[in-house]
Amino acid sequence: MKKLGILALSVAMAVGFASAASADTLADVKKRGVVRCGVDGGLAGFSAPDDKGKMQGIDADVCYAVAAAVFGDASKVEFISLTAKERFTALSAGEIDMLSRNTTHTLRRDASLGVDFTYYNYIDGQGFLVKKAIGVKSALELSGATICIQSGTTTERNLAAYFRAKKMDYTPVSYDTSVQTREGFESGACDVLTSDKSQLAAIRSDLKDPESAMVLPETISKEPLGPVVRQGDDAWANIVRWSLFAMINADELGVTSKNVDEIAKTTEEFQIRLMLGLEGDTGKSLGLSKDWAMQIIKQVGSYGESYTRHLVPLGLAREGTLNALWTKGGILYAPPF
Amino acid sequence: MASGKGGAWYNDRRKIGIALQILALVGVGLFIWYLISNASYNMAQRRMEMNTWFLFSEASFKVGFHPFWDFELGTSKYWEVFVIGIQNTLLVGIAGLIGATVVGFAVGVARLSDNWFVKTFASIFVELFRNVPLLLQVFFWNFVVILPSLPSVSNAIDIFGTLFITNKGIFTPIISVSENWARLVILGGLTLAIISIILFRRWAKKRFYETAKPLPVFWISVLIFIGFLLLSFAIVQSATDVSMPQQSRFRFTGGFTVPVPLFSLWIALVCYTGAFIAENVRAGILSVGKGQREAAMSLGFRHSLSMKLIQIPQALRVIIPPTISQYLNLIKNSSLAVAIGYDDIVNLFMGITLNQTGQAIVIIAMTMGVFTVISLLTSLLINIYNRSTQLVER
Repeated sequence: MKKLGILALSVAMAVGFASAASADTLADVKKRGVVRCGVDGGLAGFSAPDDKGKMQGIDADVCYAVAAAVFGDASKVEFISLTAKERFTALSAGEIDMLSRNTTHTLRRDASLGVDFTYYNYIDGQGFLVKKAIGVKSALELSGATICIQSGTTTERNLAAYFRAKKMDYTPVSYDTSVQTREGFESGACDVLTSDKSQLAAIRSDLKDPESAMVLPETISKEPLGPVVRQGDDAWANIVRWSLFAMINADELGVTSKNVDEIAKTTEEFQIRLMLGLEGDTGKSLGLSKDWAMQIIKQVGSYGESYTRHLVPLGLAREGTLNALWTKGGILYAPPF
Repeated sequence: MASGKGGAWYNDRRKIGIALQILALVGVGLFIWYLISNASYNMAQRRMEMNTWFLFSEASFKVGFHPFWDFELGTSKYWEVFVIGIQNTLLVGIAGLIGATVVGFAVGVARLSDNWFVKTFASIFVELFRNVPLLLQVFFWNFVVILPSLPSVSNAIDIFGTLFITNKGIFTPIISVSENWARLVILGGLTLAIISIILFRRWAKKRFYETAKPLPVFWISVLIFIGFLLLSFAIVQSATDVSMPQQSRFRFTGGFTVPVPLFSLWIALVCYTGAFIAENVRAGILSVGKGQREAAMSLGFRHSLSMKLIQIPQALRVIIPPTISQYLNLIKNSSLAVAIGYDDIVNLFMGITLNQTGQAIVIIAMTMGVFTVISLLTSLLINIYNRSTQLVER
């Protein structure tokens, strides 16, 4: 009898574990009352606290959007700052519900880490920041240069592959953190600094004299960054993915936090009426309320608003880049409602 | 009650001692087994593999500073990165040990000087460098003092057209030896030089004890060394090539480059460890009885001679043991290289290689092994020297 009891207990535990692995994240989040969102927490433009302590940035905005969709209240987010090394473990261990931390989508990560990449909120690529004094206009003129590198998982490899392919030579100086790399560049240990272009903009804006340096036009790697969720909970993945799609679609349809109420009253356009929940019920199949997308647009804004708010001040113009809408020469494209 | 001669085994202290030791051993063994099985279980859970094959695959990044080993992007392997890392750590470590010893002795003796200025300067040096965290000093030397004070390549400090000092490095000419036989000849010449110097010093010591006439031993040793070096280079002249630094657009090519971070790290390590060694030296000299110095003075010894022949040899017995710890600290502290971009083993192997391959356990174990071996060798060598300075009891 006792043995049977132990058996029953272990079966129950096994079932318990199995259900934990494919947990209903939406139910957990609703029960808890907040979305736990993993961010960098120290990268200007992506996620960094403002002077009032509120997390700001395009990565943070995705977290706010999910909270607005689930609760109708964008403020119900708990931010957890993570390093590059911690981020995936924190996600797979269930410490966070979603990861929105300028994370590059690669095959290795997709296939071996037990995580799912939803979509991209910033298309980045590795580039070069150079001192204007050396008079270089293109990365192809950099043969023989001394290059400061912030050690990352792909930075050195991309740099070596690029210079090898172009049959050029260079001398690397590798630093541990972004601050040390900037110090090295600023104090003359190198004439060139390489990192993801969005980071180059942030580093440049932190220089004593930002005008003394410029970012070269070449991009030597593909770094699509976007929110990530745990593998095995497709319903939750859909919510995160469509929260981001809602922001992008709003941008495309010209709906912003400023004009959404006005448009809701007057619009006859079917896609906008679907999005705002004036027609049909897109929320039902996601397990959300009817006006979930309307709440995102009202409280967080469209993707374009988010970009203008956080990245334009860093000097990252949107026009003519991959991050422009597909209708404006970029590659940002969200499926219809 | 047991009927045996010594009573029950648990009343026998010796047997209890053995039993406890066995228990402790089993405990340690179990703990290690637990650590290993726990790590392998968790790695299996995350589908991580532990292997050493990566060492034989091509390194996918470039190493900046590799003075004694050729590195070619695309053909060099990760084990070569490991070798270069060890060499670079040894280079800054050995140069640091020499510098710190010289500075330590100079400052330690200066603290006992009768001259107020010398004494005060030495005291300030010790208190300043001993009490500021080393990482801060490394940053300070590299980013605040040295890099900003060096000129860019186009304004290089030019010393007779052969030596160029810039913020990208210090560029010097170098004699490169291309043939292996020539390398052997030079190695042989250096070995002969060292053997001759040892023999000469023995002879000079014997002569001094017999005739009381001193020789300028140091300068003659230097002459012997230079003589053998020149001779061996003269023999292999056909196989050598002098490479001069040539200015190119962004830096100098050819010749030999001393990276600025190596220089900064070296100065930081020398000042920091030198300050600690200075205190050991001061303590050692003070431990020698005042009577020794007074006796030397009354025999007509000059101050420097009394230091060299009477006080320092006795002080060494006190100085060396704590200085070994300082030497080991210096070697371990050299890993702060990672903060200023010097390519030591921690930066190259435990930093970039680990990032590229993900083989955390293997790489960290190998790096720890390197530091353990270097430290053990250092303390072994100095312990041998230490034995020769100790009192010989008869």
